[in-house]
Amino acid sequence: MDIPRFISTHRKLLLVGFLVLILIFITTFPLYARASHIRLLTTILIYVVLAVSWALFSGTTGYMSLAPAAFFGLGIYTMALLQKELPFFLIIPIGGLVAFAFALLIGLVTLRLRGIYFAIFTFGLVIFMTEIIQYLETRLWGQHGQHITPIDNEPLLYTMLVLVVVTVLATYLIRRSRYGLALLSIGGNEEAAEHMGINTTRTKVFIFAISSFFMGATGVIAAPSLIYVNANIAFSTYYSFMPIFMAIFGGMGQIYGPIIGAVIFGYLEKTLRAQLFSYFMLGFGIIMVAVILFLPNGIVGLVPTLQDKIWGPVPALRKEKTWKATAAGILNILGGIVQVIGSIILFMGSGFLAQFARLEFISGFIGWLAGLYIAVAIVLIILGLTAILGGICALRRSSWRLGLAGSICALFSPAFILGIPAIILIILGKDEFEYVVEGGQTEQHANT
Amino acid sequence: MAERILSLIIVGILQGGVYGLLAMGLSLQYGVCRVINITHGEFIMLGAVLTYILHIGFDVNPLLAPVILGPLLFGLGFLLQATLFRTLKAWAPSPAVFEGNALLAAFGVLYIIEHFARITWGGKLMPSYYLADLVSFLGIDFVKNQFVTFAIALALGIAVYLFLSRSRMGRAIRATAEDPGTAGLMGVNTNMILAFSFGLGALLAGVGGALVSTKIAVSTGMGFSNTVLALIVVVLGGLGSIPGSFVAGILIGIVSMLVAGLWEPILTVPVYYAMLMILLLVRPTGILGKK
Amino acid sequence: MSWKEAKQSSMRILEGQGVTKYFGGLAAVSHVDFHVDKGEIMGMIGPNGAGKTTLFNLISAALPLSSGEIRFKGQKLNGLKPHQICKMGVSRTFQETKVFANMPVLQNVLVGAFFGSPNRVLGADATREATQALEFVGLSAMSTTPVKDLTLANQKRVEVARALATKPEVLLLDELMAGLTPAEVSEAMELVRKIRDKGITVFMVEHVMKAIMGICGRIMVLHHGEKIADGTPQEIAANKTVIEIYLGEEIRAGS
Repeated sequence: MDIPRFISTHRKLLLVGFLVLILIFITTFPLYARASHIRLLTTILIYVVLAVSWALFSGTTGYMSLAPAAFFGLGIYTMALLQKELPFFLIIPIGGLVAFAFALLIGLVTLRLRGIYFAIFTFGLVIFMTEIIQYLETRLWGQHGQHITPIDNEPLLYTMLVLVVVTVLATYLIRRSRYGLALLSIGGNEEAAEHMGINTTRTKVFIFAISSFFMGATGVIAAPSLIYVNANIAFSTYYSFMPIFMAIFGGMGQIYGPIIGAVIFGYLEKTLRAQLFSYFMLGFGIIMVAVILFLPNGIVGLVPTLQDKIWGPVPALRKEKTWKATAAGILNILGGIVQVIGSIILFMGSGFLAQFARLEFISGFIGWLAGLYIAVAIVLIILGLTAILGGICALRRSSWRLGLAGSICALFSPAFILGIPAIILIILGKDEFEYVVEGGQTEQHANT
Repeated sequence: MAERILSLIIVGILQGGVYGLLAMGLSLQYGVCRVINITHGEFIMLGAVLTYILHIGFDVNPLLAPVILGPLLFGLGFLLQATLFRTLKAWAPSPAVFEGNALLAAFGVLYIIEHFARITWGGKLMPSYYLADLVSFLGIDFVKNQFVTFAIALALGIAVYLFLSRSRMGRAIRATAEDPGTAGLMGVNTNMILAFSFGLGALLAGVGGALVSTKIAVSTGMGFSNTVLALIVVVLGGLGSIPGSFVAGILIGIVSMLVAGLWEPILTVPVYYAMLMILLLVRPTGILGKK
Repeated sequence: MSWKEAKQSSMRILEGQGVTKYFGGLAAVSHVDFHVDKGEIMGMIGPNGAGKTTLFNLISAALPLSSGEIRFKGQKLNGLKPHQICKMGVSRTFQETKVFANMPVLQNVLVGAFFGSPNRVLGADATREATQALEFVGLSAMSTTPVKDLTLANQKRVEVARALATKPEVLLLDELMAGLTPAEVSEAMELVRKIRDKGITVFMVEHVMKAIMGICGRIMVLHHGEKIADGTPQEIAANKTVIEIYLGEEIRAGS
C-alpha cells in the first residue's frame, strides 16, 4: 500500500494537475452554478486573498497584524469614490496602492519598535479609519455612506480569480526567494537575523506593505457586491478576524494552509449568515482559541506529524500479523467512511434547509435545524477521518494509540456496530504493535 | 470662549480620570503577565452592561454595582489567565511566540465574549444614567456624575498604587513583573500572582465600565472602541507604568474634550492615534514608561 | 604619525577608545580602551556582570554607545546598525544561542551566506558557501535536521557556521564553551584555532579558563565595567589584581 511514496515522487506533477483542475472548475463554474453560488465562490476567493496575504507577513515574521480590515476597507472606499471616474480594472491597482501607502506609513513608524506596538497600532487602525471616513463623509462630502454600482457576478468572479492567482503566485515567489528566508529569520530570532546582515526594518515594512496591497485590491473587487457601504460596513473588524482565523486554522506555515482555512470557513460562513451570526462567531472564537492552544501550526501542521505517525517507517515485526488487528483496521475504515458520507449528507441537507430559512414564518426553527446539521456534520467528519486514519494505523501496525482512537471514533457513527468489535479486536491485538516504542523513539539524528 | 475652553479642560480631566482607570488594568495585565489583553474592552463592556441590568432591572445603585460585579469579573479574569494564558506560556517555545499566540487567543476570546453577550442581551443601547443632574462649579455647569466618577476612579487608582508599592503582595507582584524567574526562586507563587494580577486588571475594567454606564448609554458592542482607547492610553503612558496610565488618561481626556468641543467629535480617535504615532517616533517608551 | 604608530594602527583590526555604556545611572562599561590585532585570538574574561557581553553588544551595535568610539579597520562604527556592521566584516555568536530553531541547519547557515556580504549573492554561491561552512564546523551530516532537535554543542556549531558564512574578518564569540563537556570544550578549542588559521581574527569572551589560557594570544580582563588588565595569558595569570578578583569571588562564593 504505497500510495504515499507514489504521491511524493510525482509530487510536482500531481500538484500542477490539481491546480489546473481547480482553475478549470472555477472558470467553468458559472456554466452550471446558480447566481448565489457564484457569489459564494467569489466571496471565498476574497477570503483566500485576505488570508494568504495576511499569512505572508504575520505568518512568517510573527508580527501579528490585526489590520486586514483597514486595508480591505480602504479598497472598498477607493472603489466607491473612483467608480465614476475610472474604469474598474484601473481602480483595482489604485486601491492596492492606497493600501500600500498607508501600510508603508504605519510600518515605518511601528515596525522599528517591538512587536506589541505594531499589534496595538494595527488593532486601532480599523477604528481610526472608520472615524476618519465618517468625518470626511459628514463634513466634507456631505453624504452618509456610498452607493456602488453593481457589476455582474461573472466578471467579478473572473477578476477575483485573476487576483487570487496573482496573489498566490507572488506569495509563492516571495516565500521561495531570499526575502522569504529573511522573513523566516526575523520570525525565528530577529536580533540574530539583523546580525547576519538582514535589514530587518526594511524587509518588514516592505513585505507588510505588499501584503496590504493585495488586501486593498481585494476590497475594490468586493465593493460592487456590497452595493451600499458606509464606514462601519467597510471597516468592520469582522474582516480582520475572519482572514486571521482562517489562516490560523489552515496553518500559517505553508501557502495552502490559509487557502484551506478560507475555503472551509468561507463556505460555512456564507451558508448560514444572518440568523445565527452571533452563534457562529461565538463558535469561531472558540475554535480559534482551541486551534492556537492545540494546533499552533494549523491543520497543515498536522500533516507532517500524521505522515510520520501513520505512514512513517515501521520497524521489523517481532510478532506475526494476525487477523485481529487487520480486521479492526478494516472495521475502522468502514465506520469512518460511513461517518464521512453521513456528514456530507448533513452538509447538503443543511444547505437545502437554508434555502427555506428565507421563508419568514418558519425561519427561526429551520435556521436552528440547519445549524445543528452543520455542527453534527463537522463532528462526524472529524470522527470519520480519525477512524479512517486509525484504521490505516491498525493495518500497518504503526501506532496502537491511533488505532484505538480510530476504533472509539468509529463507535460514534451510524454504523456503531462496526465500532464495538473494532475496539475489542484492537485491544486484543495490542501486542502486535508492541515493538513500537511509544514516544520513546530516539532522536532521528545521532549526536556527535 | 475662555470659559468654554476651561469647562472643556475640566471635563476632560474628569473624564480622563476614568480613562486612566480603564487603562490601569490593561497596564497591569501587560506588565505582569506580558499579555496584550485586547479583550479588555469586553470586560469594560461586561461591567457596563451588568451594571445596567442591576440598575434598571433590580434597582441597584450603579455605584454599588461594582461590589457585586467586581468579584465576578475578577474571577473571570483570574480564570482566563490561570487556564488559557498560562497554558500558552508553558507551551510556547519563546516569549515572542507566546506574545503572538496570546494576542491571537485574546482576539478569539474577544469574539467569544462579545457574541455571547449579544446572544444573551441583544445589541440595543442600554441607558443607565445616574446622577445626571447638573451642579455648578466655578460658575460653569457640569454634570454631577463626572465629579463622582472621577473621584471614584482617582480613589481606586491611588488604592491600587498604594497596594502595589506598599503591601507585601504588591511587592510580590512587582517582583514577578520584573523578573518572574527570580521571583519564583524567592518563594513567590508566580502562577497565583499572574492570575491575581489579571483578575485585578479585569476588576478595574469592570468598575470602569460601571462608571462609564452612568454617563452614557452602553451596548454589547462597546468593547472594541474601549479597548482601543485603553491601549492608546497605556502606550502613551508607558507600558507597565500604573501612574503613567493615569497621567496619560487625563491627557487623553483633555485632548478628547478639546477636539470634540472645538473641532470635531468624530476626530477624537484619529487625533489620539496621530498623537501616539508622533510620540512613538520620538520617545518609544511612552511618557513614563520603561523598556 | 610615526612609522611605528602607522604600522601599529594598520595591525589593529578592531579597536575602541573610551567605550562607555550607561544603563540609567549605572555604567555597565566604563571608559574601556581595547584593541585586537589582525590574525590573533583575543580573549576577554571577567566575573559575571563585568560588562563583557555588553561590550560585544556595543561592537556589534546591538546597543548604542553612550560615549567613546569603536573602529573597525580604521572606520568608525558609531551609529551604524548591526546588519551594516555584519556586512562590513564583523560577525558574532551569542551567549544564549540565537539560532533559527524551526529551520533546518543548512537554512540557518544560508541566512548568513545570503545576507552577510555587502554584495548581492547568487543562490548557487550562497548554497556553496553554506555547505562549506557546515563542513568546516563538522555538521555536514545534519544539514536537513531542524536546529531545535540538535544538542547544545551542535547548536553552537550552527551559530558559528552561520557567522562564518557571512565571510567575516573578525568573529566575536560570546561564551562559546558555556555548557559544554570537557571533551566538547577541546573540540571547540580546535575549531577556534582552525578559524584563526583561515585568517579570521577571533575575539572571544569566555569563562572556561582552560580554553582562554590555551588558545588566546592576548587576554583582557573586565571588572565592574572597567578594563583592569591586558596582556598575554602568562601575564594575566600572574597579575595580582586579577587573582584577587577571581579568588575574592571564590571566597565569597564559598562562604
